[in-house]
Amino acid sequence: MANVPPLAGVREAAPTYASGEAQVSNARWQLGSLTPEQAQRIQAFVDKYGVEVSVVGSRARGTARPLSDFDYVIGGNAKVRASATYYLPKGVRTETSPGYDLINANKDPLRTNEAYITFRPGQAPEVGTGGAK
Amino acid sequence: MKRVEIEMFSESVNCPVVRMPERMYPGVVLQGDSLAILRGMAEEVIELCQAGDRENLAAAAEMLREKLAGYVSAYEQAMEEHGLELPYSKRK
Repeated sequence: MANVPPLAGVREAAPTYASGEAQVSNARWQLGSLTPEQAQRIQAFVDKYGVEVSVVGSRARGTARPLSDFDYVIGGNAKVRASATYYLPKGVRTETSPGYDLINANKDPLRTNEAYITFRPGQAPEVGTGGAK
Repeated sequence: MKRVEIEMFSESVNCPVVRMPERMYPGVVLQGDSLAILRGMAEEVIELCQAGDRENLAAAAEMLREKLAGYVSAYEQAMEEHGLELPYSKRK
């Protein structure tokens, strides 16, 4: 993805696709440190449960290392978030870390002054750099 | 701000285990955002209790337990690696 244009921290203008999953497949911009498969898995979860999921932290900044966790801000009820712990991509699970962090968006809303990638049902992912370096 | 020397028993990024000066036992350093997440999880458990939403309550309580268990596990692992006694009885 070397020829990916820089992101300006604004919502990408997205053409209409039949489903969010198709949109992810056709996304030409880089989604942080997410692989296309990981992005598709997140979009599939979002489409299935009808909730908004944002990837934040190093995976959104594009600075993730192989052992980095996945940090998510996710809405919905507790059961949906519990399902997310099984369904969404995770980092390496160790004895002391499950490889992910889930932030309840109902309690701690997404901070748009930091990098994020937001997935919504049937929509293209929204990428924000938050002005972070 | 005061600069002090502390002992570090684990360099885990998420929750390093350190001993502060004059403390007998080490503790875990939680980042502010992690602390706020825990508070939010506990608040949700209370709200679900008050609402009588047992299904979601079970899920919320389990997520909170898992989160706390991760920190306890990190603490116990670091203590064991350094041959230190726990300040509590370890559960089986």
